[in-house]
Amino acid sequence: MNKKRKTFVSLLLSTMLALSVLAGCGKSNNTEATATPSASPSETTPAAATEKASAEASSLEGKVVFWSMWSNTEPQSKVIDEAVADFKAANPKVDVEVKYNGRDINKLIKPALESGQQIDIFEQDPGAALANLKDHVLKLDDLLAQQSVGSDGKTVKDSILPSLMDWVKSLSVTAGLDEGYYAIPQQPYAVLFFYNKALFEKAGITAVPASWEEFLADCELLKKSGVEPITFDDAYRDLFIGGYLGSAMGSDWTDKLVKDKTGDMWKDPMVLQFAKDIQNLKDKDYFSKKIAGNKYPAGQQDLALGKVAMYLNGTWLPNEISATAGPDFKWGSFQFPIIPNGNDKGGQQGLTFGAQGLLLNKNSKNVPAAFELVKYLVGKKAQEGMAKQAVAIPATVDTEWPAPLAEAAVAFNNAKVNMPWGFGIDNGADFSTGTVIPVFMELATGKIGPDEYVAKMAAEAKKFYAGK
Amino acid sequence: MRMQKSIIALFLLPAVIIYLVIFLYPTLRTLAMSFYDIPSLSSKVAEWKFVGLLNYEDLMHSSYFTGSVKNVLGIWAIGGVLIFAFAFLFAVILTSGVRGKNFWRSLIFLPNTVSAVVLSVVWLQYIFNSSYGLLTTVFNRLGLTALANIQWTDNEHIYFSMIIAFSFGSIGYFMLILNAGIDRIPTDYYEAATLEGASVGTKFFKITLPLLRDVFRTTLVLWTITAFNFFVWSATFGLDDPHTVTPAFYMYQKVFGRGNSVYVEEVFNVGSGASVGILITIAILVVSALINRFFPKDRLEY
Repeated sequence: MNKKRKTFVSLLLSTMLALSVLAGCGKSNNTEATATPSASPSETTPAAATEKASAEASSLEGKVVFWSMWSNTEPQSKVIDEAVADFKAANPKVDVEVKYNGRDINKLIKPALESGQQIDIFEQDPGAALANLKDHVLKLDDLLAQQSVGSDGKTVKDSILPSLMDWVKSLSVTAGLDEGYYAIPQQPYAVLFFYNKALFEKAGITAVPASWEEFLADCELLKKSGVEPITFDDAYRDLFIGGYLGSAMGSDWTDKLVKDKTGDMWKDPMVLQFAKDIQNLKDKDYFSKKIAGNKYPAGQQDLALGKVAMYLNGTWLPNEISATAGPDFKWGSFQFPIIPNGNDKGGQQGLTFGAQGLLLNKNSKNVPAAFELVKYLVGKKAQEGMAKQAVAIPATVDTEWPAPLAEAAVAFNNAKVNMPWGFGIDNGADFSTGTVIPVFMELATGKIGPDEYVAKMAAEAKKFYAGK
Repeated sequence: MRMQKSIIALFLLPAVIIYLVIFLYPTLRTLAMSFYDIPSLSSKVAEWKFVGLLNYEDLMHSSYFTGSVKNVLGIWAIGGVLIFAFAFLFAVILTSGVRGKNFWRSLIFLPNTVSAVVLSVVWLQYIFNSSYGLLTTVFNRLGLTALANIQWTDNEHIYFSMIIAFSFGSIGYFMLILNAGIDRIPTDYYEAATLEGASVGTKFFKITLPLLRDVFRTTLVLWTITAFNFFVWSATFGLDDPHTVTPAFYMYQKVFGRGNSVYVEEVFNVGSGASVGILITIAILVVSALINRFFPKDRLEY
């Protein structure tokens, strides 16, 4: 009897132990993943404190949690740390916790918000955030009327590039929210051809190509000067297809093309023209010989090393490969050249552009302090920091753009229509990844000719959508 | 002293509870999820939309998915032959009394201690790279320019490149199991055979292989599970290239999104991912059953 009881008690104890160990695991994981900014506030205290000594700000208190989309190894995090330090100097009673999620935030944010975890500010692509998280976002219209930090006399709203603010506002209606501002845009980006200016000069090219004809002529000059004109990586093959077709016909057309269930749209003359032009690029050796096997980031490294002249990518590219390219690399950029015989829906009025956004949680218990921190994050000093340290386009109106992206301003001025990523060529989901891109590679490596390409795409599209 | 049944049950209880909670419940929930259209992993049950077998039908009709099934069967067959050929070879050599046995064994096992992601980056960017990769450099040195110019990671080669790279890292693991199995075989048999004048080949086919049947069956089941869940290498080698995609990676794409770029908005269907998971589970069960059928279970005593 006694023995039995003993076994029972020990069993109970061991079960409890096991449970507590399991519970312990869960907890420790959470705290481990949370990183508080390491920048010590003492460095910046004196300057910032005198700058901002208003009684209203310093009365803020409580805790603010900010989930960032950057990881703590990226230069953006250093700028954020500095901005947080400035904020803390001005608002010593507020406890700030920054969690650098990296791009995993895209997967973590929704469950975290739904489970009611304390997140006051989070970073997301505004389009994706408003579509997926519309029950969690706070309307910012009233808050945006507050004075900005650093841009004298301007409200927060007026301190930020108007085209970006308009774009963010337009997203609210599509998402089914009341019209207004739900995200503060920052880190604007666009998809452009990036080129090595030194190689262009060596080849004798004086102006960037605007039309397809000029583009081909420049490729010829580059080839003669001994460099490979164009390259791309496996991760960005879609951009090249979408870039051409979207530039010719606009992204609504490419969207319809990849979703066409009959496959007949692939018989459009524009597809044949595209296939012929790609074959031309391949036959004349304008494509790098390595495009077939390039594994990200092999192709962009070739650009950085001066082996290849052009690469179609987002404006984050100069920052991404700055370590290989070095500080003396002269960057230039231009929009996808104008394609002849288009339908006027494309051209240079269409640009794949966007921005990251700072959003506030609707259920935040500390909106005043959270928004105050946001003001520092999109303040002039932080945006200058982003431009200098992370080669990012600043969101504030009169901040100088980083030199590698100076030419990108042209494209932002041209842009009237915002095109989706890949100009819509990725909208076919499994059809895009499973068929559009690999068959394009067969064309670009000379395995099939233009007529075969058209026939194959039409047949494959019909086959793919047959059961749906 | 025999313990009472109730005490045995009591001792088993925690294990059973943990098994039910962390294994059976998720499996059943996944099965249920596979019949719904679910926009996000964290969607509430109220947001699920019942679609019956539609997820499964869509999978059958998607050439991307059926291609991924073919890929994984190829990996299972080709990779299996490669891995077991080398694993047997090394295991036999190591147990034949070679000098420095422990050193060689550790060396062959070493790739297993490196993360699969790291290994695949090494293979992709330093071995298969067409400008300064190992293969290109070596073939150029040897004057074999035709071989040096092969793009190991293009559409034609990437599948086999991936299988070779993966097999390289997996040989050590299976070698270790086979090695232990061979070590268990009493040396008397070999001594007797040697005295009778048997060759190395005869000893392998007449003694080692038959007596290793149990171990081999187990490793084969382990390999099947590994191969059918082939995931990391597919993700790192192909991104979402149809030439390298496997059902497990396809499932990941459906549940967590495609996202090789932050800037793409995704359409999720967690339910579709769940049906892929169910199909993988069924496939593993079926193949394991077949393996047990072909390798009878009578235990060898020696």
